[in-house]
Amino acid sequence: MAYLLHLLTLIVIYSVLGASLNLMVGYAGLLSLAHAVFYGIGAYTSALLVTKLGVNPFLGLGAAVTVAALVAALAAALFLRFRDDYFILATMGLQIITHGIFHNWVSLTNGPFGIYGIPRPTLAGLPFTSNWSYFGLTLLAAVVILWALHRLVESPFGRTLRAIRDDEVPALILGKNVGLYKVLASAAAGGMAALIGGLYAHYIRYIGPDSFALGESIFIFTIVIIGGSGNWWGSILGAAILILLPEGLRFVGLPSAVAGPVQQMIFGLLLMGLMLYRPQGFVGRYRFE
Amino acid sequence: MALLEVRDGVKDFEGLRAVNHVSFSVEEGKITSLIGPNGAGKTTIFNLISGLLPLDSGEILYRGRKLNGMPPHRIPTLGIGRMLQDPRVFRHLTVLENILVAVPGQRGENPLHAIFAPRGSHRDGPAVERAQEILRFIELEKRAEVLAHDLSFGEQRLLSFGRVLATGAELLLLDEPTVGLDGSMVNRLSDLFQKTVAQGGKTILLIEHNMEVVMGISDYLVVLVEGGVILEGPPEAVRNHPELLKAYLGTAHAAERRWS
Repeated sequence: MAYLLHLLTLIVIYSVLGASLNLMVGYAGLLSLAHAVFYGIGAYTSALLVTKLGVNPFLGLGAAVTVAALVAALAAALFLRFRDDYFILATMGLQIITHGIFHNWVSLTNGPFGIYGIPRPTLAGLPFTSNWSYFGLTLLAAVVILWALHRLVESPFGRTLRAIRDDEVPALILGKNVGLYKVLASAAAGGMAALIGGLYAHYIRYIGPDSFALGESIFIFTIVIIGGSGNWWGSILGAAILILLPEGLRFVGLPSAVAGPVQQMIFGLLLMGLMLYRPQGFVGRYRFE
Repeated sequence: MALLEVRDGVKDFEGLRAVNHVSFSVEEGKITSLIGPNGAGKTTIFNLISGLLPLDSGEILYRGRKLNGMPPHRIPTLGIGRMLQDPRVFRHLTVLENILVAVPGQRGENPLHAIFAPRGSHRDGPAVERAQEILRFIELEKRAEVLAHDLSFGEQRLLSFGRVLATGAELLLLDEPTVGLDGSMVNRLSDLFQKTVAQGGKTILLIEHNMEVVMGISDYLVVLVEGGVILEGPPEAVRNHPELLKAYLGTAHAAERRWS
């Protein structure tokens, strides 16, 4: 049961990561391989504030969102000049640099050893120490984030984002500040990833740089591709598949030396199959072109 | 005072002078047409006015206000709308949404308002009314819920025109709006242009190759050849002017010489 609860918590966390990246990929047309950067900034900001300065974890989460949203806005503003493949490469660069900082700024992040003993939060005397209550807290945060995302994309803001995704030049000519829209969408997505990153840090209670490396960004991107862009259910489905599939393989009884590579092969085949036969993902609205 | 004035505008592309000391003005409430053979610099002039390209020298004034150096998304807020040569509708948006995107000043475009304001407050009441009014004007109201990429090419042109109207622009820059359309759609569009000016009080600056349309609806013509203005005046004065004939036939001869 504890194991299932752990998987459920992870699915909730990755659903939020997928859905927030989907705001960039599926709505703003920004293909980013740097989502783990904001997830990581969220986790590190909250964990450091709480363990080093004794800040209340809920304030830590607030700071995490603010820092990550600012970094995301700044990165988006810098990367505006890049399009398509070049944008992906630029975000990949950001991802590699940030991982390098997490890994090497030992005095701040404790480098490769990571941060231990991150406490579970308490609110008004109510501790979220049990895994059940913490799952509830995470689920609540996820529902709020998904609701906010839903409202965002159903609004005129979201409609203009979709217009920009379709064709930037007419959007510009109709008086839309295309750059500002991209920056705002990136900041929102970054802030949301950071909130769930902070919650992850206080859940798992240990974080290290390798949890926020390029592989993690690719994993989140894969969730969006598998589930489909421009659809929240897709992100939840994608997260569930990608979390449960490798766990399922454990019960097949493969030796551990084989299980890892088999897992990677299945991911690869899944992605290739989707690209060939269903490029819009399982429930997506747009094809990746 | 002219609504729009281009003064001594110059634009070079890597040694090629695309726009060569061009000056002309557009009177309010009129249809002014830019004509001339391909490569005369007409679309470049539109790109200069809408801020997609910077001028090398000279200036462009709208209601006496200098446009030089203004970012392209600011130009429409002053009242200058543009219809691109390709319709370039937002393909995955419905016809109604395409128009709605263009309606300015919607509070729900602010993401904080979009998330936190009470539900329904950004359901665009007045914007939807405005959009439907435009759809009736361009006679696409029956297609409101259709995705734009399912429209015919001619309908996409209409939608593209409706989108410019939705911005509330006073001056409409239309870049070859009838090219590639059949006769009835050409008539439908040119009727709409005339109605927009006569009833809506708008001003149109038109790039057009269809001489029937040009001579039929223009109040004033500016003839460009190789980046320079060679002739301007009302259609009746320009129509049979030897310079106009020379401009078209002359370049045709030049082209023939190049091929032979």
